[in-house]
Amino acid sequence: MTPEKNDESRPPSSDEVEISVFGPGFGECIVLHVGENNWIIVDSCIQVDQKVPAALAYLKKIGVNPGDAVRLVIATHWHDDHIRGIGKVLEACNTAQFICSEALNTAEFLTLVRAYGKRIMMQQTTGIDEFNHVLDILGKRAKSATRNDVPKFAIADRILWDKGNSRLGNTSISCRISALSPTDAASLASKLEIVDLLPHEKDSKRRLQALTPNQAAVVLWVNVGGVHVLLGSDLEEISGSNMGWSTIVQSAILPEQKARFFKIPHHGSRTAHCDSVWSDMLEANPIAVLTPFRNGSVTLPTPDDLRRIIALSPNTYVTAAPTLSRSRKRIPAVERTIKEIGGSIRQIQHVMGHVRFRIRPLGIGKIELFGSAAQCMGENFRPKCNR
Amino acid sequence: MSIQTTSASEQLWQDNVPEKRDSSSTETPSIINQIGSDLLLSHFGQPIGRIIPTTVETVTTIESSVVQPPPSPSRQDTFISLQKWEGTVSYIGEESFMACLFDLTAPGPDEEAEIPIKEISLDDRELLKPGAVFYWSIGYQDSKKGQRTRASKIRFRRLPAWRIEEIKGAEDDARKIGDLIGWTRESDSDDYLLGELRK
Ligand SMILES: [Zn+2]
Repeated sequence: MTPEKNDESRPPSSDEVEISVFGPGFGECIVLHVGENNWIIVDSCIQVDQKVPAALAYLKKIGVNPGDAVRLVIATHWHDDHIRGIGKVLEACNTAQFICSEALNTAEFLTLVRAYGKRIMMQQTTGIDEFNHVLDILGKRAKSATRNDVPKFAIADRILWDKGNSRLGNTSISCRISALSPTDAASLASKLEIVDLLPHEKDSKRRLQALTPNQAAVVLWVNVGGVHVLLGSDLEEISGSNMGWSTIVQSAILPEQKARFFKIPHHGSRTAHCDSVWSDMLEANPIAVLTPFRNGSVTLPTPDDLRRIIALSPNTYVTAAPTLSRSRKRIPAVERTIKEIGGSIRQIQHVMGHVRFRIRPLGIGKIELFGSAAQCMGENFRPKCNR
Repeated sequence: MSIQTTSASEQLWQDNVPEKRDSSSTETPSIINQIGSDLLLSHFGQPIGRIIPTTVETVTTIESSVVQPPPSPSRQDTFISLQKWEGTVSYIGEESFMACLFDLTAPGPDEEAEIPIKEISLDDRELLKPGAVFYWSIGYQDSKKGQRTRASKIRFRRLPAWRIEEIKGAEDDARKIGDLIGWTRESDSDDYLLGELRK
């Protein structure tokens, strides 16, 4: 599929389905238009130059009022790269329902959020800080008796939202969003791990580290007017267990149809790869989109990851190349000192990339790339809008 | 998740990652220096809030060819800060560790640093764990005798231990907000799919 050059600010027409994936190099956000100005936001990342969550910046750009139009705000898991700015998103989407993993549906998770949410770090926010913000917003809503104050918890085989049929021009489109994970086993395992993270008297405080592997992330199956979409979040493959991708593939509730669009799980990591997902759940050569991840010594996708994914679908896109660049110039005395101690500093690229797929029911659809987004082609990325 | 370091040659994308230097060629003597926490706070200009951490700092002085008299308790050097960061340890390797940095001098885009572990004082090594928070400052160290050296200081925040009242407070808070917003209610079973997606 050849990417098209288009105007990012043009909104979709009311019968057009849209899946937009945003990623600045560290972070991920998905914005869905499911017809008739109904929007869904899955996860959040920040548009660094604007300090605005990517989803809100985009909706503003295309002239959509998030307060009226966003139906669901879904946090697939609480890792920093999927949740930055989700508090602001929920605040702006004041009629949207908040959804998160059933694995977080415990008193212990709330205690963890309330204990660690009191900003142990001075400057850098964490996923827990964001959840703390979410709890405050939900609390405020509950007090003012606004609708949709009760959160919904996603677990395998649960329908999260069903819009039913609605007529759009000559077509009739339905929309149903279901959770395929976490499984009961994954949810339970995560709940137990959260208990282990609770602070104990006399333990010294430190920043909370994320749980691995990602077993309790919410994987979504979206069916909009017959366009099937699989959003893989960060779910990893844990074979020989009742969790992970090979369990999802065997789910009895999967529809006969296969997905045309796949948000590749966990930034293309090999640990989230499962052959049978590609053979049993996806159309041949699906549109596959991934966001990069860079933290510490971990860079995803790796070159091997990219080769593997491109071999599975030539229609693979990435929101940004996971590059690092030289740090900005500092005064010579500082530069010299860093060099002399044998240290190095690099700037993490946060150029927001946007991969947009729009399709009318029964149509072919089109891919558009904005910002640093690119198509992955063999050994290189194809520059955007190269027609 | 598998930890993998990517080398520039095998990358499929263009970038300009600076070449890794051989840190063994930059051996500099480390001086462990204890300075009162008030003084440190003024050096770092950091509003720590209610919690005043106990700190130990590592000072690496550059230009160590200047002969330093042994530190005497009666006089204190002045540190003029040129650059300050707040860092969070993200990964610890054999000889160096990686950290996400937030520039406290001139906030800008996120940065990550690779810093030799030898820069951390022996006292602070036990604090070097993923998630640990530290402050890194580079500047001039002026001695009372008027000698100026460039210095790099890293101090780890020694966060206080959890107190039982804080934990109980968080539990109470969690119970209140949970009851208010309907968290931890039983999951509804009526809207589970039960195979109806096949319809
Ligand atoms: Zn992630």
